[in-house]
Amino acid sequence: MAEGGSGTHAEIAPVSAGADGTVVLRDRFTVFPGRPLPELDSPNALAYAVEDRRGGRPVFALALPPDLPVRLGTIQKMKGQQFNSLLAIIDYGFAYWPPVQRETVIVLFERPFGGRLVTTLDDAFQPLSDPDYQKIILKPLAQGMEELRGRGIVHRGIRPTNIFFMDAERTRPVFGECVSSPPGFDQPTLCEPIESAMSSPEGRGPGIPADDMYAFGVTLLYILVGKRPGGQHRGLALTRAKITLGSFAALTGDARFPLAMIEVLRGLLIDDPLLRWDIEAIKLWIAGRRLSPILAKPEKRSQRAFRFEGVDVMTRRDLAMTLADNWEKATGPVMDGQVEVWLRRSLDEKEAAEAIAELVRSATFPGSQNTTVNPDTILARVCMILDPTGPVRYKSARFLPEGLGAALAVATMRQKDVRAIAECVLREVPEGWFQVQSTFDPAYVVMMSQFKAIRAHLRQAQPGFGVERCLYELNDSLQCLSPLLQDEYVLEIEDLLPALDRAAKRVDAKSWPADRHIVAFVAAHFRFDVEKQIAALNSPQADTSALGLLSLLAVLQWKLGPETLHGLTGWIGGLVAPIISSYHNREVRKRLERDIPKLVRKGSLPDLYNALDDVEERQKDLDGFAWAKAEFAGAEQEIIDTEAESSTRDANAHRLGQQTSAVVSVMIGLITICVLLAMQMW
Amino acid sequence: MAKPKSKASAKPMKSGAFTRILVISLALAFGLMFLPTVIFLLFAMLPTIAAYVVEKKPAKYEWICVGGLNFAGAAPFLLTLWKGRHTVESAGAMLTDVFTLMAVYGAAGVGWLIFMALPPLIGIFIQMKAQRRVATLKATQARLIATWGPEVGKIKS
Repeated sequence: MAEGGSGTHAEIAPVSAGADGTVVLRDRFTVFPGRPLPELDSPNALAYAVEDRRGGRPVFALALPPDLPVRLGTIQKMKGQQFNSLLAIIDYGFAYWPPVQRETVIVLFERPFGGRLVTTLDDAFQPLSDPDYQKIILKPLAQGMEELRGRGIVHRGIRPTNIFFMDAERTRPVFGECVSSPPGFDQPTLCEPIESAMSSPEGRGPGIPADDMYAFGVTLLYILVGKRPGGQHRGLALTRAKITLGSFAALTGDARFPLAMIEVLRGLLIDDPLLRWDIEAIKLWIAGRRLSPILAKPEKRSQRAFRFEGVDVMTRRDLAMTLADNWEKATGPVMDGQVEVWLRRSLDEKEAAEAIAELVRSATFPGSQNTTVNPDTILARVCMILDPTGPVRYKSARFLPEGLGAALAVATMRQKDVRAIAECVLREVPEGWFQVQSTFDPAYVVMMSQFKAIRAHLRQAQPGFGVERCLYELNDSLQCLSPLLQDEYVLEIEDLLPALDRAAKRVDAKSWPADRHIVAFVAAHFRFDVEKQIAALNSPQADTSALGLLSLLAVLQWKLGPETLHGLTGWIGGLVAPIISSYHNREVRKRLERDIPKLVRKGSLPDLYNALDDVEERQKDLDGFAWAKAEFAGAEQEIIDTEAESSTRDANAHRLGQQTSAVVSVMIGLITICVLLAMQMW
Repeated sequence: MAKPKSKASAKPMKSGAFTRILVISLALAFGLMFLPTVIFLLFAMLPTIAAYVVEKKPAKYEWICVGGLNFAGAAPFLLTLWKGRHTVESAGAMLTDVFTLMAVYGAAGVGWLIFMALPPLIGIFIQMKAQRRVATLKATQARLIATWGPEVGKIKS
């Protein structure tokens, strides 16, 4: 769902620390934390000066925010590529960045010298003449759109404030960067299609090229009229105006611009992404071919407004948005049938009205035991019926299905409440979104199975599952968020053990080297099955849990290396006491305690694991212990019996003594007689 | 109903009495035939007879113990009686001889001493054996605890 990096660390530029806190990438680019370039800042990433030791193209660096997921896949696609109308990525690397006091991603871009088109959307300027507009703006930027399509990149950051001029004369515009935040995260409502604008910034998903075309249309319109389109409308009001009037009408309003551009803008700002112009249509238009004008189908308006919380709502989409924005109070009108009646009578939407009535009936049915049906889920599903292409809305959560990963990641990284998102998934709300779609997309099948898997993870609270597992399953390029690695930027599973090895030097040796984030990160990224190790790790028994931890990390080292991990092995070596104690035989324990320092010095977790969990040794120990227990119990029973027989033993001894004395006496008598007889005979 | 019962019970009584009379008759006949020997043994074995009479326990060992040595003490004199003149006078002379009486009754006394001394000795021996066994078992348990820990003695309820 979220974008992931397919590269390995071999592709990441080697980084070293230079003098004065500078960072040197690939022994070539020196980045200066002390020399910020605020004019090149992104909304979430600060720009810094860079010196190229080889004297190549002028370069600047963006230090990406460590509290947002990285678009590593896009960075890797763009790195080293030549672009005419896109800010080119020269290189990137991971480095300790003094301003944020932790490791982060540094991306090097070709430096523009003409500055930004506008610094804010409220800036106004003298519009260009039509020929200049065509030459300086439309054609270069259309080329940029083509370059994006050619590389299979969805930019999701096209806006007037993200257009730079590469030359000081401001004749060569380029689209700015798009990798410092999740797709669409920095986009203003103005530049987003309606359904995306209604989502939270982090829940907009990777988007499609049509979203970029829409943003391109808004940007063209802005440059064309020299001021912010959409009049005074901002935020929700602007979205409501787009819904009511259509984006083209809402944004152009009474603005004056060349008539020739109407066709382009209408094509780019149409709200149906299937009808929206693509880059081919733009190219044809620039080449002089005029296409038949597209007429936007306006949203159906009701005869009578639905008044809710002081707002007069006239359309289905607007009602969905208004209900969701007043979540606590919206249940009433839905459950008591007001929404259904309004749909039926004022909009003549019998099918939608019937679907809502059915939902309400299922929730109020006395025998209903379905936990996924409650007023909140009913409201969420009603919003979907009213606005099928809109985002999934559930309490405070607003996200498009493919935006779940980024929404969850941003909420977690910025310490926001993830409960609404988790509850939404657990209550199977996103499945409802797929059910109401009028068109089938094969990607929906993949997403539905992914939601099913995510829900299964959420239902389990143990380490290795829960929200953390969902985070890493949904965001391939999300760094491990473990507090143990707070100074590190671990994106790849191969980097986890070396990072933990370094962490061993600064953390409390008694702490556990695998918290929820680490276990979830491993479970999501490691290509081998580690479910057994995780199950053991989650055992309430200290020895099984410690063995599960050791086993998990040992498998990682065995499969991924490195050869030696002295710090981590020492750290784990201090935590294996419960494993040693799991052996019953004291001599085995002593031997293991003697051997551990040697194994720690080797720095090999697999060796440590093999020594501590030798199957043959363990079986021998178990068998021996069982024998010993039986022997002990037998001895105990014999002692008890012997002590209990003390009184009867005296009586028996007395009787035996009497018998013995009788036998002895008779024997003496017989011997005496025999001797006498013998003497008489001889 | 009473008549047949009394008839049935009278039959064994009659046969038992007959046997007893027969045995006594034979004993008397034997006694008369070997009268010196009987007289000698009757007096010589007095300690044994006394032991038999005195012992009230169901399993009587005391008279056997006394009797064995008592008879051993009497045996040489009995042989002398048989080899010499087997007469009542000879038997009486033997019985009045202090040496003979000391030898016969002394032997019986030794038998009595054995009977008194041996059971406590055997009791002490058995007790010691049991204690040694308990000590060995406890040592085994201590060794097991040293090797396998105190949990080896925990028995699942």
